[in-house]
Amino acid sequence: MRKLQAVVIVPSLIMLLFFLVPLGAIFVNLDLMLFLAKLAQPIVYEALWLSIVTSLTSMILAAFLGTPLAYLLARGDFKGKVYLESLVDLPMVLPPAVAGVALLLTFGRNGLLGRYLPWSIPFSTAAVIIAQTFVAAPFFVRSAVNSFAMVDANLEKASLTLGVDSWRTFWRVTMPLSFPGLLGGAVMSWARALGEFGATIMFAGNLQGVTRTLPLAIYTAMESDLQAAMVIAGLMIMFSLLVLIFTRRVLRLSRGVAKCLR
Amino acid sequence: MLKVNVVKKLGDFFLQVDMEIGRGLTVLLGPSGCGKSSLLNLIAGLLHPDSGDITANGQVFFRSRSGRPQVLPIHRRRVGYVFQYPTLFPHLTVKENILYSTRAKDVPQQELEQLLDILRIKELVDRLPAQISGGQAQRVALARALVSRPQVLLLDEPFSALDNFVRHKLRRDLVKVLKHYNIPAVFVTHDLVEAITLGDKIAVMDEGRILQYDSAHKVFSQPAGRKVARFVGMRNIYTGRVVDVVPRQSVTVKGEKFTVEMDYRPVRIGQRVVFGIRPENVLYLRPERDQRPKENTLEVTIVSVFPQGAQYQLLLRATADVYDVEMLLPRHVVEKRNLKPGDRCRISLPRESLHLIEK
Repeated sequence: MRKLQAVVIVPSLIMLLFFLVPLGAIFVNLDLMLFLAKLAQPIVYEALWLSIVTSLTSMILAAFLGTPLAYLLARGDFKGKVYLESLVDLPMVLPPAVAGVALLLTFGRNGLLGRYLPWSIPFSTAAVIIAQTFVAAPFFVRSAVNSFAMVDANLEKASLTLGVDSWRTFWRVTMPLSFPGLLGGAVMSWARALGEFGATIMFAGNLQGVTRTLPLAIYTAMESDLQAAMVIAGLMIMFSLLVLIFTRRVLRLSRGVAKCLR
Repeated sequence: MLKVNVVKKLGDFFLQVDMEIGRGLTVLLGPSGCGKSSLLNLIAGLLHPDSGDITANGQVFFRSRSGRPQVLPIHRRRVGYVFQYPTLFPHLTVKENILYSTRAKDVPQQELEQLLDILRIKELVDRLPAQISGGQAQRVALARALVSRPQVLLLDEPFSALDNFVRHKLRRDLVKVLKHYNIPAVFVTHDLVEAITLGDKIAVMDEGRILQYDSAHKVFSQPAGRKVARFVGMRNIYTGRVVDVVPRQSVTVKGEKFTVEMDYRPVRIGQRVVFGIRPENVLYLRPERDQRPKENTLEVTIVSVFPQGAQYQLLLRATADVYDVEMLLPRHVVEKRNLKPGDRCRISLPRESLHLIEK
């Protein structure tokens, strides 16, 4: 028993410290005055604003386009479904640099689609959103597929036999029961979009106020103004932590409800 | 009136059914995997036949035509469906579940109250499905199906996951509640006892076909064919040839193992037949009392004695086979007489208990 405790506790402590010390290192060198002063600099607040707008847009795009696809993958019965699923998961494991190249070859001025478009996509805010959606949407789709699959298909069948058509069945049965999973997936994809760096810098560039999101701003500030980089990093940590706590709350609430419903 | 005439390929066999189901409870009895649940799914519209016709009260559910078949969507069929496992919506209360159907608002309050009363779920209406028992959940599911104003009620082994005591109560509730709803109800089960206690009519099914569709009594006492006979517990089955017929009196059959006399049936001399008797109908003749001549007596050797709760199963040998007759005896008889393997005894196959299964 004592041996087990030692084996469990010591590595756990090391792991926790490994996470917490670097995060803490950022805050040790920060104080409120410095924080506010740097926040007032354009490189910081423009990046903050841009990150909020683009990551939320990407999350919403992922949710709107990803939900039907996830439903298809969870409920559909067609040939090659396994391959399609792996294809959807691919951007999750792909290095972001590969995504950047792929997007340039697609939406670039001479790209597969880009050559037919009247406007130039690369190095615009739209490119930031495209890059973020590309890498983040699979996180949403994966989670949504799982939560749809968790809903007992017999519940949907029962609903149909009770005279409720499939569209209403989706909204009255499938959606409420898979909502916690969808919300979790949305948060995951939002977090991934917020942190997107590689694909963005390759495909959208690093233009302040246009494509320079928070991670790019850190990268830029590291060369000239370490304190600004610190402030941005601290900002992102707090931001992410708040969202995580919030969703945990909401999820636990709905999971608790779901549990006592089951 | 529900009319089903369908063909559907299921795995390695074809479901091929042509039957009319009237009001009252019809039991679909058969081993697992025989296609009985698939038949329910075809009626409900959860599955489509390869070809055929399904109509309820004249309304077409499915009809093959050249080109695309005519299909009525599930939600317009008005079929109540009770699944094997409760499918209550976990995020809704019992009351919300019962009133879930779009047609629930047409049900008068009084009728609703009565239904909740009969099914004993009035006190549960504000609970969530997780807070009620399995038996209660199936009663709620039944209420929910009936409140949707079905023209046909389909029940797919709804009580099989419940314990025996609850199952008995639920059968009674079902029979009671169906008296108020004069609609065809199809009840799928693989449990013989359940089929007999519930069904006005029983359809015995195997490998996608209906083997016999008759009143419960008739299926039980006059099984049509070996498979049905085995399925309804007539485990002593023999082949033989008719050797004598006395019109309106008796038939004598020379079996492969022994010759028996049975009640008159319209058969010809020389005809090959299959006949059988239930193990519980085989008579044990007490050596000291039953000396007067009885029909169809056999001298047998006991091969084995297995306890089965309140009774014993005895396997008996009359010829050189491993065993020829299975007999069920009350516990006290076996224990008082100390019957054990190797003993000799006399048995009788009463002529009224012998049944012709195949002609």
